[in-house]
Amino acid sequence: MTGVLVTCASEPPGLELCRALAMRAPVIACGPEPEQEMAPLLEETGIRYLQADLSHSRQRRAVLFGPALEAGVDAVLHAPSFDPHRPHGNADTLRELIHLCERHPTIRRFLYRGTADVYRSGPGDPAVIDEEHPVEPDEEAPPWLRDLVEADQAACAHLGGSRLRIAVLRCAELYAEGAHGQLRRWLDSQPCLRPLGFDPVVNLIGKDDLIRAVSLALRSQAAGVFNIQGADTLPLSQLAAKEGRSCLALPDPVLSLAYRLRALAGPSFDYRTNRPRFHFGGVVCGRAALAAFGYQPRTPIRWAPQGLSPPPAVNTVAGKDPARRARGAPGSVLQARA
Amino acid sequence: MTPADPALALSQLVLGPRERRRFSEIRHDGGVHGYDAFGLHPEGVAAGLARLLPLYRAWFRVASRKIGNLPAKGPAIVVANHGGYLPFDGAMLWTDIVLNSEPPRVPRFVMDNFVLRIPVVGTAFARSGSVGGNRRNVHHLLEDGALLVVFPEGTDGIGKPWSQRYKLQSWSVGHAEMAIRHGAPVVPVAILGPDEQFPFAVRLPIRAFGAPFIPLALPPFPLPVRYRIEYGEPIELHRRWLPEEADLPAVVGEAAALVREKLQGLLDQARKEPS
Repeated sequence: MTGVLVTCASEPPGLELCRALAMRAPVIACGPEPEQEMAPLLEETGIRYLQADLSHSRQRRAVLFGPALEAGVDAVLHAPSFDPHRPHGNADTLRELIHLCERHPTIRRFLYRGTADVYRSGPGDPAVIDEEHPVEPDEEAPPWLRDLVEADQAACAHLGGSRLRIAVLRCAELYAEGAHGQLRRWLDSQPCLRPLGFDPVVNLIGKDDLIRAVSLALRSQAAGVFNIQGADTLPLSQLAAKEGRSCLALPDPVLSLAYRLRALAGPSFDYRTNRPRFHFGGVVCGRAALAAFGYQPRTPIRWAPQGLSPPPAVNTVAGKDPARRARGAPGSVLQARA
Repeated sequence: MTPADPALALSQLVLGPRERRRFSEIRHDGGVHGYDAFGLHPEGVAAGLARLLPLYRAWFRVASRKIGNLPAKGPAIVVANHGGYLPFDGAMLWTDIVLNSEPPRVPRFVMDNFVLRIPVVGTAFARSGSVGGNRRNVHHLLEDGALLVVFPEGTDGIGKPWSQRYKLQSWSVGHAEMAIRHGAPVVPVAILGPDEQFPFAVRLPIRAFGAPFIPLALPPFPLPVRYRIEYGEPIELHRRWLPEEADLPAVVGEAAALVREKLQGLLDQARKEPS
């Protein structure tokens, strides 16, 4: 690798991932946060940070054919926004990013860090989810999930037909501070309610394993779809117990009603979307990743006694102002280029 | 069901030192928390055994023969007859294998998907090693060298009338395909007893949780018939057919018919022998 462009520096594990990658190649990180906020965090790492909101076409071009071209970057690591409360547009962003990378003179490798949330879950579906498992086709799925599925499929559509070596990583839910997973939302909705008589197992990945998986995938030239499994497989009730949350089992109709009432009070855990998963579970199988680039989970999550602090609704000051994110902060590289 | 304290307390009360020692010898890929990807947990197996052991020893007084026909390791598919309106035959076979196989193995029962929809039951079955019936689950388990148990008759077998007792009913062929594809020997197992446990039972055409019928029986509990479990010689379908032939319907049909014939023969022979 001559250099990596990390477009998801604001998605956990964000900067830690950049630091790990920087040990092997120069890294350009970008995210919506202002450079003034991020620069102190990246001192002495050699990582160059750019404020950029890649949901905007102009900023995508500015980053790829500006700093990335100058630095001779040959690999791109992209992740969608997993936050259901942010505007959706992951599919459009990803599609154009791939097209731009295909035209780019130096980029040869494209890694998409997706999510295993795209997989369907039901009583007739396999409990072990491999890469051939059907993805969620439900037209009634919420927009954020449909957007993630579409983004995943957009990346898959270029497999084999592009000059880029594309790898799609469908990662188990990340258990880390600031992560926007569905289980994280469930754990934050005290008390944690689950269907009576059902306690399916779920799989979680810690940031150490995720960083290792991404690093290994980037270093290899493996192309295709790969599930990234975590080391922790446990039932919902135990997950809540590990977090120190009280877990209450209720009959399914009562549970649906309870979560609907909670939704009236504000953003909450989306039970309707997760209903099949909360009955039948599903654990991703990482055999393909092991065979292709040698990734195997090995670092269990270190459970904090009081659990993690809930993720902020919006990450940063800049993140609160979409216009500011789009423009770029005063004095930023993108501001100057625009 | 999480292996909760009451279940653990029951297992400590019911299981003796021999059973507990066997649990320590069970090979199990349970990861950090002891759960495999299908939800199996050794404490779930212990809890299941503690519940079933009184039935196994005192109610059905199960006697089994030739359990040594089960392979000690590697993938294998146990194929058994099914009957008795409620799946006590599966429960007794599970208990027998957990108690008596050498080295100890936890059989992975391939169950109808509707079982997973039943609250408590689906989770309890998963904790003790059962999995939903679909080819990806079976594929993964055989790749991992598991001992699978299937009832190719399915619900047709379990709900058959008294006049059809110990006669194999409609016969699915998936087990034969998977055995050829994965090089797994098929062990036919005849279970005597279940077809007599509910002499007066009918199928109510009520669909609940996706089950094709609800059994109505008199008496509402099974009669204390004596169960006999007879393990047959392993059938090595993979030595007769190549893995690539597992896609051919004629080959799979022939292989499944061979297994059916062997199992029916085992059943007929076992019925002739005094209990």
